[in-house]
Amino acid sequence: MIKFVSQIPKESIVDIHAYVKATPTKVESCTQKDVELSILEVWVVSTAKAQLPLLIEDASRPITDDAGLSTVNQDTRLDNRVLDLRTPANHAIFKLESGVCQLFRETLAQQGFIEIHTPKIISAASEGGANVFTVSYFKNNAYLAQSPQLYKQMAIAADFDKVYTVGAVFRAEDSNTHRHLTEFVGLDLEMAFKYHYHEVMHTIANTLTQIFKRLKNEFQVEIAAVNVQYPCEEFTFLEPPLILEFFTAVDMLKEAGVDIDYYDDLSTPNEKLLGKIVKAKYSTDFYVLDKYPLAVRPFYTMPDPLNAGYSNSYDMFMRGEEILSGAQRIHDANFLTERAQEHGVELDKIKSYIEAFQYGCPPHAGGGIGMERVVMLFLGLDNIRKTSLFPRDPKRLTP
Amino acid sequence: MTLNGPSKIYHLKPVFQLPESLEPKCSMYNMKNLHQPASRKSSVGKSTDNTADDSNENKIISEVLKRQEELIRHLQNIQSKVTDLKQELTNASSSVSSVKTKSSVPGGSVGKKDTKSTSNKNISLSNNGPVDIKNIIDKNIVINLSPVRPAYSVLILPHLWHNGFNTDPTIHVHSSVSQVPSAFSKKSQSSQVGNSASPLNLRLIWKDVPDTELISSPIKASPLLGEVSMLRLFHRLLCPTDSLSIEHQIVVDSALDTCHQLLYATQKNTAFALAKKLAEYLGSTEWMLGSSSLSIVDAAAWSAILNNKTISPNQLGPNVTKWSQKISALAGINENTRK
Repeated sequence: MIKFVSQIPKESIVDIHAYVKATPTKVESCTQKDVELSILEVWVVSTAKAQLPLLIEDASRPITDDAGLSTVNQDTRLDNRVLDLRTPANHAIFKLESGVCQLFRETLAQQGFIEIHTPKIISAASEGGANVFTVSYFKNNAYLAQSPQLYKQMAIAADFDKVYTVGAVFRAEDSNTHRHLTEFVGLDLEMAFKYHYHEVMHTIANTLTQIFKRLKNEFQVEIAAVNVQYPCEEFTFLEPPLILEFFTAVDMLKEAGVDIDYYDDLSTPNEKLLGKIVKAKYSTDFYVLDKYPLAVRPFYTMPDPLNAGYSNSYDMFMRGEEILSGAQRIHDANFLTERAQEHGVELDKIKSYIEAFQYGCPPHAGGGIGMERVVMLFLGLDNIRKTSLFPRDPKRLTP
Repeated sequence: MTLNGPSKIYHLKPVFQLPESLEPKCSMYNMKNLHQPASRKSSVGKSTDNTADDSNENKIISEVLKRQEELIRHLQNIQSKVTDLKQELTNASSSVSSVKTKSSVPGGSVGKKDTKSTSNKNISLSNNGPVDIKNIIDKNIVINLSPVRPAYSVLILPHLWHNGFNTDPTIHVHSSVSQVPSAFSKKSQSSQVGNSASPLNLRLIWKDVPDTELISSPIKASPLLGEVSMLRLFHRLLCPTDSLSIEHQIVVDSALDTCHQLLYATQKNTAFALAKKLAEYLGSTEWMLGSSSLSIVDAAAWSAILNNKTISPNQLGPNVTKWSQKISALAGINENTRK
């Protein structure tokens, strides 16, 4: 029998008929140290190929382990994703990711939001035209939705009051970075407000804080499992969340010696630096920047009525990287047309967008979160491909 | 390029040409050669222009001496002015009667030219209230509160400096802390006084830290540790007039040090001895150190006594109990629920 067992390739599925016995001495090579199986019969249910493209032991080795043992590089992992996903860390990552979606739904449902599903094949580019995938649609062309924003807003115009959607979002951006994917899961929400768009901003920020809080409490085992392979500092946050105004952030960067103007957008290195400064001062990895300059936001963003040059818009950050971009949207068709013309957007292309606001629409605001980014940054991972089950980027369409 | 003779090696034009003579740049100072006169001096008798050098040196020395005398005269002038000012000030403010004034100013601490102008500024400030401290320190101040040693004095900051702080400081709970002391959670922040244009903007964070931390700018300064240091900083920023009486400052400092020690006292005997010392500072007066109103010493001592679980104000005499209840009422907390 030993000869037969030794010939079963690794990773095969087997049925075992055995007795559980206490061990005389502790078994050091297993996680279960006190008992062992005394085998009577072994059946092979499904054999694996004798030559594995990667070994699970290698793939689950901690990155800090520098004993010279072999590790598996990112591309080999992604090429053989089924095997790679068998590691304890990957199991934990995707359990946590499922938790993020589940908590997002639960937290919003508790606050009276309803889930909607928006079409992914659309006739016109939702945000002005750039970065969309074209697909052939019978005799014409169609596009893949790069954001469910228009449909969220139409739901608001249809008096749905508070809506959210979880679904695929497509971006035809040829950027090969650690944080860009061409297809990802968007957690989007939109909400009508009564007096001030801060109602919405606080709702979103509090929702995220609730999610972090429950992830921390309910997914301790998973977080610990990921930390074994990818150690990192624990994710910290404040309750209620920290909200800073954009100019305060610019002041902080100026103090750090960055040459930046109050009306400039933040570059990625500046965002990272700001994340570090905010962490040092307020000891939080999650914060909100409010009141962005109007010029760096899309045409449908509502300008700030009190401060010319600024807008009613906000970004949210985790570990110095943006995870959400949102704003109060213009809900008046005439004003929207005016703003679109100022931005030089062709009115033909956004005709249907503007039409949606012709029959009355409550003031509303919202935002969209990238699910993979949230998981990546919560766990302190270095690459978004680690948190996408089968990632899609400009260079990868398979598996 | 031309062939250089029969050797078939190419002759290259020089890449650059040095000028015939190098002129020193006029943007640099022409320095005296330090070694030359010294070497000449050592070889006495050899040189002929020795006497000329000596007279030159004497000239320099006498010049320096003259300047020194001038400076001393200037300093004396300043000193007399400062003494006058000090006398004027003590006559004007009778409230500081408990503090003795010294006739002379300690020489070491007197600045040179600026002294007159700064003391003038301070006098005018005593009438006008707090300075515009925007340029000195970042307006947005974060205080990390420790659940182990809660800085109760934060609750009465607005009563110490009426226009010093924002009306409604935001209170956050850091993810490392699960529960906030009940005295703070019950407190309604809206009752605090102050205005939105106040010089300091506080943000309180409950965080898992051993002691209170104050952070104004993580780039320019490291965090300030301890509740007492926090009160000292605020006192310095918001009451610059007090810096004039050094003796008073020393008494205040030692009282504050006692408060700090009490915060860290673990044994009952030491804690009681320290608390007794604080009770002596109060004596039979209304506020600590015979002050006419609530001061940082009251705040620090009250917080330290509240923090220490082994002692209660009742053990320290009726006046301490009365004093403690009065501050608790200002802070809006119930002393009995704290422990």
